[in-house]
Amino acid sequence: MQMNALEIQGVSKTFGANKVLADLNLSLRKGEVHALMGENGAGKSTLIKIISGVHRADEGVMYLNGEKVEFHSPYEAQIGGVATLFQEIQEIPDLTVAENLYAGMEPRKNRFLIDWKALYEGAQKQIDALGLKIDATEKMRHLSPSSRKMVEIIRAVHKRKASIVIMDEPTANLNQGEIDALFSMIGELKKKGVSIIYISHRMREIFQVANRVSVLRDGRLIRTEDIDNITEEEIVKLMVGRDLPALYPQRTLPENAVAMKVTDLSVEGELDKVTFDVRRKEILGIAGLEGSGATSVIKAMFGLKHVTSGTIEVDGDVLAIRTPKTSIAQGLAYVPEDRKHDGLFLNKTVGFNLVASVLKSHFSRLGFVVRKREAQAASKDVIKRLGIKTSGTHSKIGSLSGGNQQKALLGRWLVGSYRAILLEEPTRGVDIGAKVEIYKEISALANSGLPVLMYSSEMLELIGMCDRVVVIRNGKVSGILSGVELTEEKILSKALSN
Amino acid sequence: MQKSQTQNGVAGWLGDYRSEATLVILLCLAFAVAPLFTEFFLTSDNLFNLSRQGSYLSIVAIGMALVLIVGGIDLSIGAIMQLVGLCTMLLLGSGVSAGNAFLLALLLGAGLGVINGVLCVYGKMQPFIATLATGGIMTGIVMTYTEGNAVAPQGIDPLFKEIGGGAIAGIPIPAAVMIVVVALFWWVMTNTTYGKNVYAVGSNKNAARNIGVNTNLVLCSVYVVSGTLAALAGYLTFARMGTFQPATAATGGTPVEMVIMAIAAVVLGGGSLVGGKGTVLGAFLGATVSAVMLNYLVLLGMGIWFQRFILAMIIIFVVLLAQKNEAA
Repeated sequence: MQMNALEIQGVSKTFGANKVLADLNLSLRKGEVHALMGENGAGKSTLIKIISGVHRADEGVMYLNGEKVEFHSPYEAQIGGVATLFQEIQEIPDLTVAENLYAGMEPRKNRFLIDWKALYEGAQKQIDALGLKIDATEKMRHLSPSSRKMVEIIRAVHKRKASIVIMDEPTANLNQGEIDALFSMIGELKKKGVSIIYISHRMREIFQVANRVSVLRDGRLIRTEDIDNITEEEIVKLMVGRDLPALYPQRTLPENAVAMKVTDLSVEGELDKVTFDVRRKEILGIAGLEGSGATSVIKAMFGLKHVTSGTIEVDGDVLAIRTPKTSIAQGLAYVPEDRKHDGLFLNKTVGFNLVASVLKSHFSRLGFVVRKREAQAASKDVIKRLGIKTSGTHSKIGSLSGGNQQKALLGRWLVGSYRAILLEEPTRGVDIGAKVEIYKEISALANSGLPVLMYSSEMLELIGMCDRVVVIRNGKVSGILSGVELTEEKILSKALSN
Repeated sequence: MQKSQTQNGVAGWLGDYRSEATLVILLCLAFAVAPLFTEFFLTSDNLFNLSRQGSYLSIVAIGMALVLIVGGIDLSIGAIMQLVGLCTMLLLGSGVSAGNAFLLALLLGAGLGVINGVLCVYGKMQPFIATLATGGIMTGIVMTYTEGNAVAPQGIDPLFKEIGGGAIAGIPIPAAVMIVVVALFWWVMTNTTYGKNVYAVGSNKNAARNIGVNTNLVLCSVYVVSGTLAALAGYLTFARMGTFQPATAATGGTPVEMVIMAIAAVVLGGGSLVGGKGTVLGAFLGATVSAVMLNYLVLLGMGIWFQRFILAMIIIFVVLLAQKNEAA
């Protein structure tokens, strides 16, 4: 009988009031590629963080090659043979490729001196063996994002003879040649008996590379299955669960009148003459793979990019795109994709966060004296309307769960009136319950007559929420999908090639 | 959830003003035990002098508080006090009235603040480097012009010395000015959109931009506030003396020491060098505690060097205490 590379039994993890993992079991065979599937917030990232020693499980045990292990830090996990490749690139940009590859385990001439020749030759050999065109003496900073990712992958895999390699969305930035190189690397690893946990949203890859697949939902393992015994549709069904219809609100049809018109929007090197319109009461989605420019559309419209050409009309008025300040003054509301970095004032109160954007316009005398009581009352209304779970307007927003933080981020635009709503990743990293409420609110905003523009990297969300979806590829609109054409397949095919 | 519920009510309010509360307790203690050590502390003469001595530091600390709240730093305030003091004296010597010299002094301070702000925001220099350099330039100008000697013009407007040494209703004029400044900026920071914008920029610059705050303007403005208040403190300091004396360790503190004391005051009051935190009230209390302690130590006959030692110890103690409370 063959021992499993990794055996996880009864693992649970709670963050605050949020049960992220509940009594989860998972086994990983030697030399297999095991795909982990699940929506954002299903618990995948928490699970891999527990395996790689970033978090500790509240309950449950973990066996690595038959031995019971408990990792207290990522370092211990690495020593134990778990190599993790996180979504974010974790390199040192001012060191060379070779130095990054060997960071912490440089070949040495003696105790003190690094053997630079061996370091550069060894690194170049590893790169060449994979058929990649990367110069080992180049500084990481000067590499393209995809090349950096490849270096990161090589490093993670070869570091300390890993017996388990965890890959979280490894192909997110890669082109086809690099994806092929990655897959051949995976093949080599499998031959050596290394097991791989593979996380990807791209269904096709899963069927190409995985041996087995496990589907997680709401922190539970729903099913583990051989890849040959399951179909794409079944996986999706398992991922979203039976309550799919209830997840997205019932929409009313948009009106025919165009409310917002974007014409020839261009940003140097990112967007090329992007043109579309949004009707009254319509939710228009924007889709595109990473690097396609899809994430730049809303930023450019809001004044966060240097727009080289193009016009935005709302209700027939051409807007002047300069800075967020002028965009807001002209009626645009914006929810950024990274709520911690670009959205919230984490060390400030819930009340501060909810009304900061409208203090001057709605709650001030003479334009600068704050009417505190009214502002407070307004923020209480928003808390109630969105069901934000907080002990009051005076709690620090950083102490709230991700879902409640995200609700607050949307909620700040519910005070005051706007002419168009721009949303980026409106439900990133929030639990299903919060998702449902955010979706309901977005739908209500649209139903009130506003055009809503929504960028999301989750195709299911776009399909569930949007009336039409604009697909961006290489900075251009490659298609606008609606009705029966609005499927994951169609979006992907428009996003990938002509 | 359970955790945030405990932050309600009085405890919650104190949570926001923990540093301030600590300082108030410290001040009360100092006043309570003072008679045990020295009979002079609670005399009206001493308190009169103390309130005037403390006012200069309080005024510059308010400006420093705004700068630290946005995550910047202004190392030039001591040098601004010097340069403004020299210019004021030269203006008075050429027959300008004390009132007009006052307005020109504030204008000069604001202008120097604009230079700092423009270098930091539009020149994209690190505030530490930019203000260190501008402060150095200003000190250089003062020392080159005076060659280290006093400037004491004759026949200047007598009102000048009256502002520095006189009193209104028993309160020294510099202390009265300080009270107005503290009250004004306390109100500005807690009740106006400008105050909220300063906190927003300090808490998260990107987020502030995304809700429509002109972040560059806000960042620039705090250096103007800081420069203007430093000019005000400089004017009042030299009005007290009636002459201009280039600052050295021998004449009661170099420009750099003023900067350190101001930063210490803000940090004592709950501010942080990484921005987003701090209050006007905290900066005022921090400055007052420093002034009281120094006064105390003088009365106890401690030397000037030992005073600095004690003051530094207090900073470490109070900041550690504040952090411990925050973590709890």
